[in-house]
Amino acid sequence: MRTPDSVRCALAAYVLVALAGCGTIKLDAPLVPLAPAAAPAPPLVRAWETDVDGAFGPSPALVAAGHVVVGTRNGEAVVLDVATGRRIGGLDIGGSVEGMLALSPDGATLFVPAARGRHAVVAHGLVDGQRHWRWRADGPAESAEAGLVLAAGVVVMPLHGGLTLGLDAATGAERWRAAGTAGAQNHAAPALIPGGLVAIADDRGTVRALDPATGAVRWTAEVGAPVYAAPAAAGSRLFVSTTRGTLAALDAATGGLLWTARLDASGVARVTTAGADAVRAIVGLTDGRVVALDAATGAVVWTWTATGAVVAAPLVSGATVYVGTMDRLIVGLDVATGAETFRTEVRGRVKSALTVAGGRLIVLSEPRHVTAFDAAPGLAARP
Amino acid sequence: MPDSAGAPRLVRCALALVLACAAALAPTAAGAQAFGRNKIQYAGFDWHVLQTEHFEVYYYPEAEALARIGAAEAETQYAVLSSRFATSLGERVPIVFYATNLHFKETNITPGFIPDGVGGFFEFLKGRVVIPADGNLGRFRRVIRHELTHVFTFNRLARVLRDHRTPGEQGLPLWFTEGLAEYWSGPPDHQHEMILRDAIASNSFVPLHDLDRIAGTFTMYKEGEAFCRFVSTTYGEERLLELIDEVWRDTQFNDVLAYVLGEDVDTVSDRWEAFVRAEYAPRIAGADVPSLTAEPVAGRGFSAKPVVWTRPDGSREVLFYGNRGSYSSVYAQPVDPAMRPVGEPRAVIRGERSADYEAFHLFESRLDVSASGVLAFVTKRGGADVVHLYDLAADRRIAILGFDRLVAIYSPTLSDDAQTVVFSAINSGGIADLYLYSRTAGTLRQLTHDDYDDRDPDLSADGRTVAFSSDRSSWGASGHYNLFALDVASGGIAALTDGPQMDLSPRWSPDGRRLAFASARRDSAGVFGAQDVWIADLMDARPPARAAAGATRPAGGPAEAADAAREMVAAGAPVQPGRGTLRQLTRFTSAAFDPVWADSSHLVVATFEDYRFTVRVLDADSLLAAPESVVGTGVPDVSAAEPWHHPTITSAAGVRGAPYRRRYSLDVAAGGFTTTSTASYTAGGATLAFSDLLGNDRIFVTAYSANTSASGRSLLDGLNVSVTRIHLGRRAHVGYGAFRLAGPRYDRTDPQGTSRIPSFEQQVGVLGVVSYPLSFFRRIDLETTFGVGSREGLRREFGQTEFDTLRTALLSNTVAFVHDNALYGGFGPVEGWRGTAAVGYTTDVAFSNESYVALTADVRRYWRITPSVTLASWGLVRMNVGRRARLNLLGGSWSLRGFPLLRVRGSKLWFTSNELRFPLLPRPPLFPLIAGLRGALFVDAAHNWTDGYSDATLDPDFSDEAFPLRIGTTKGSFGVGLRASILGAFVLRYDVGYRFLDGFQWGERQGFRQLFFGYDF
Repeated sequence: MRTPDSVRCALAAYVLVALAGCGTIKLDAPLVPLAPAAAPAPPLVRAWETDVDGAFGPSPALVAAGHVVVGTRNGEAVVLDVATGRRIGGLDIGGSVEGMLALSPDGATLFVPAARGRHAVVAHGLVDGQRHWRWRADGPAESAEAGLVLAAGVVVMPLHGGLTLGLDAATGAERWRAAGTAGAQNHAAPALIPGGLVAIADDRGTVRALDPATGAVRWTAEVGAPVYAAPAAAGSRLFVSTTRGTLAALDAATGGLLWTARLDASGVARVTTAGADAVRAIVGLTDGRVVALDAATGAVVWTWTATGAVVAAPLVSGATVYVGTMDRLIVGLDVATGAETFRTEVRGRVKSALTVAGGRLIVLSEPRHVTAFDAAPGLAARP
Repeated sequence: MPDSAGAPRLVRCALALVLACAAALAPTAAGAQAFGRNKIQYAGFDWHVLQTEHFEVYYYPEAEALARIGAAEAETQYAVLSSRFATSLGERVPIVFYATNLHFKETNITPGFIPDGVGGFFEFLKGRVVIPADGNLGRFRRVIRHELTHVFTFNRLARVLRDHRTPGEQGLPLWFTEGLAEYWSGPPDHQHEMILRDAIASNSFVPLHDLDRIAGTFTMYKEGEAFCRFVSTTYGEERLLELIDEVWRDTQFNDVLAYVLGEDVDTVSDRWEAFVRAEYAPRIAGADVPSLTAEPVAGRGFSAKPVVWTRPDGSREVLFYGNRGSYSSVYAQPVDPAMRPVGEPRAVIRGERSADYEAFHLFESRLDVSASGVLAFVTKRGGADVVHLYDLAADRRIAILGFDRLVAIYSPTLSDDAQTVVFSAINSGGIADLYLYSRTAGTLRQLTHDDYDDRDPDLSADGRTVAFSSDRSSWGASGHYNLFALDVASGGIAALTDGPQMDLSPRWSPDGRRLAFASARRDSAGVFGAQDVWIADLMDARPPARAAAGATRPAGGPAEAADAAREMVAAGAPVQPGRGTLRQLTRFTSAAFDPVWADSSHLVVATFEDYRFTVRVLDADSLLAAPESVVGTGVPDVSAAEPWHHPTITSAAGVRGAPYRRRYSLDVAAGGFTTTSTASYTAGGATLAFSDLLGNDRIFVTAYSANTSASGRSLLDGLNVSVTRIHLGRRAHVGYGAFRLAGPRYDRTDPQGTSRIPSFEQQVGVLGVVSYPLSFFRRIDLETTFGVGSREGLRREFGQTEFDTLRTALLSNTVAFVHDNALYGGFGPVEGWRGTAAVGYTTDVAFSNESYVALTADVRRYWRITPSVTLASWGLVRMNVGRRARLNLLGGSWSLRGFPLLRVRGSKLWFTSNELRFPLLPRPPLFPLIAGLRGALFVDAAHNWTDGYSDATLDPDFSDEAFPLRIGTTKGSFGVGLRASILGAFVLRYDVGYRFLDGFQWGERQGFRQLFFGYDF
């Protein structure tokens, strides 16, 4: 049976439109992975602001030398030039990107998780512009909304339905599957912890440290409340924030519970991912408080209260902790005292974790803006 | 929404204005008045604004204290919800407070009519929250929490949909948003428990996949709340927020549920039902079902708030509010000595169809009957409530009591001689207190003077003591009510019960030694049980009495009140407040309300079962002999209770009110689509509506072009634009505007135009309208238009048809009287009547081309033969008399059936239509796509004439050999029809019958079929 011309024309038009709507990333050279660097000291001035045409999930931008990569709820991974904010390229994967992205050690492959769509993970060659592999989700329970991390050549990815998956970073082949707590779901992004392990926390309050190579569980801990925010590792400690107003500190090597701080007696306020260093852990709460705790004991060192809810992970860098708020502020606080040293307004509410790239503070804000801040030359911080 | 009664007044006004512009091209004057009831601005509020950190609070000065309490609650709740939703709102939220439910009904923020029982609403177009207080400040604060939950829910939902670029219609189901708002506004109250106990006991619990079927009902709210509690308990409270955050994933909320909860929706539904049953089954185990344990007095429809009248001859009647699918009325049901109903109840007061009895407060206000046979009840009458005193023996009203300072009145109670009336009332500041009116002295005395909610008073037989329910105990701070006694002479108040319970509706026994009341109490887990009938034995123990907080007579604090109460007791007054005995007489599955003594051995109560209210009788003697439980009053031996107060934001905190200033913002933007009854063209364009925050001022801008490139004229030539402003903030609605109308026109009303070839017409003019409501049911509409224009086209005069240009400068004035008390069903009116009488004069002030008078009389009457069968009758007379008098039109699905739409015409006509409407299938196949199926038998008749009544001439424009339409003949039709309600949103009408072109001569009948949509006339 012959396909009518009109149908073929319609199909061809559809394919053309679909292709025209698909973006890709093809760079001249691989990106160079970077560990987060020191943030600029306040006061800050705006270096640039770019509209990336898509909103953001809770995770921070992925940092590379001279570039940042952000995933958007419009289904794109967008590469920006840190110096100018110029858009270098955008990869359309067709499903909302909610969680953390990852970059291969050689900087040539970008791993992008999707919260919905046929492809839960796409490995994209940044230089050849080709899709190296993709992993297809088998139903909504395998949605990769929490994001992924790359460790020991394995893409470790907690799935919505409670499983955690290990995929070969080179081929996309499934290396292992690790079951979670019965009935639990994964919402928190995975975290790399000392010893080469990956911490996975679920909404039943169970934290597991997995060997990325095999998926074997090295230790398990209970923090007593659902975890939606990514755990944060600092030194030998792993800080786990819950949705019921508590922050737990675990021994990153053994999973032993070091202390639990109840920061909200009502149990209503959610606690953000901690910004932490060896001395203190600093978290925001949805009731607007920012609380600094002694990393060793969990004792509250200081509290500062914002006028809006705080849902984005604070960024601790040197003597300053930067906080983004839901009333569109970026605030700099003295790490030691909690005194406010700086504040500026951004375009929208800040729901995504702050990060640093190229010496600039990178802020993702509503509705779809990436803003970079530089230190203001010659200006002293406000006392 | 039904035709005109349900149609929002504002929309009708707007449509009237737009149509007035269109009709200005050929003003038929008195022919276009719409029906509908009136939302009247009685009070003329002087609006002010308080600005707090997160809210703009709109109030009027009388209610400033209330507004400050509301603002404090809103700020407190903002902090909770901001944390719970993990978000902050970008702008201040406008909250509009009304002191009473009656004031709330006047709001123009929603164009619809607001029934009793609506606690407030959130309007999401402009993000406005609108809430009345109505005396119960505890409930007022809870409603604030409820509506603010909506604000945060919709804010978060809007962000999710925008972030994921998901269409706006992909939202959350009503049962979920309302359930969440209930769940996060406070712990379940006794009404929540009543609904769920009843749902389980009567096996009417609605499963998850069927919740849309009960959309908007009280049950939906409570089941929604139960679902959210189930999710929170079973899966974690975080999943509730996820249901909002993940709504972008699928157009079907069930699929979103499955994703978030990790189980398919059938499993979730089963688990939820099992959860609720496991929770409630033990609580109702062994409880009595009212219908199995209490004899009915009034079991049909809605029946509540009973009282018993004993006639001088000893015969008795139970009076109650009743609604049998129609208007609400006060019914009297004769009963025999054993309280068994005898015969059918009679309607004593027919409500909801006249200005005096505009509306009862069916759930809020009790009835009372004095020993002398005077019935006291409350109705809304204009802008406030009034107490009616009705002599039952003489069957006539003897007094209407209204009070300037009092807006809402509830539960009047009478002395034996009916000379003293005590009632609960809410003043213009929204505060509920008890009042006493002496008919003899003609004086009104305020008995309580504080913020507590004093309700359900009952005056003792000797007129010395008022028993009432109030939140003035220390338990009131957490929303509980106890019973109190007020000494009329001294004003002293003593507590009769004490505890975290809902003690409501006390009634004195005939000997004055007992009080019957309804009470819902918490179990050991803190959950409210059923609302049952209790008896307080007041002679069981001597006090010391406990005075209530806030007692104010004699002047002074609680200590003085306690002294007064002690004096009352020491003086040997019949009331013995203190450590009496409470006996629980019933243990129902759901609830009993408003017990009243028929005699010393019988109690009459309203019960709730299977989602219905019925009136039943209880054998008090046997129940007292074997009570379900016996407890003490719980009143402690302390001299005074600590008064409590609602938190408030004081002006000392720097929050001060400022006069309201109108700021307009976009209200509605829509693609315009217009068609006129006199032109055979339609045109698309844009319509924008702007309004101020209170919705009192509206500006409409409409623009479109009636020309197309094919017409040979430019789009600019055919530009139609109108700007109209209407002010709805006062009783008289005033509107004015300007218009420019142009385009091709097929004018069937033009006696000299040709209908088949369009003329081109343009007109520029101004218009003004005033609509003055006389009552909820009646109004006078005035309309003036002046337009200058010209019409080019073929005209027929003296038998010749030639090209002509007719210039006009038409001034048209119309006055119309409109009445509408029709009751609407899903297919159209079912009872009552509506009518219009109008006169208009149109004259050409410059060229004298037109000058005529237009008269209209239009009456539509609906008789309800049975609850589901209605006979509808419509009579219409229209006359346009004078130079170039416009023709009137008939034909189509609504008027003269069997004749083409608007093609039977004449400068004068009469028309009548009679229709018998009856049910076919209440739940037809394809339900709910076809939400109902009804039938109709109809007979239509009309006579149209232009010259002499019987001067029969062939209509040159609409006749042909097969269908010779003659002017000057009597036309008609009869047949049968089918009415199908599609999705409950609109009605398809299909008629089959015979038509008669010249008298009803059987031999000249012609068959016809007609399909159209629209509600019955």
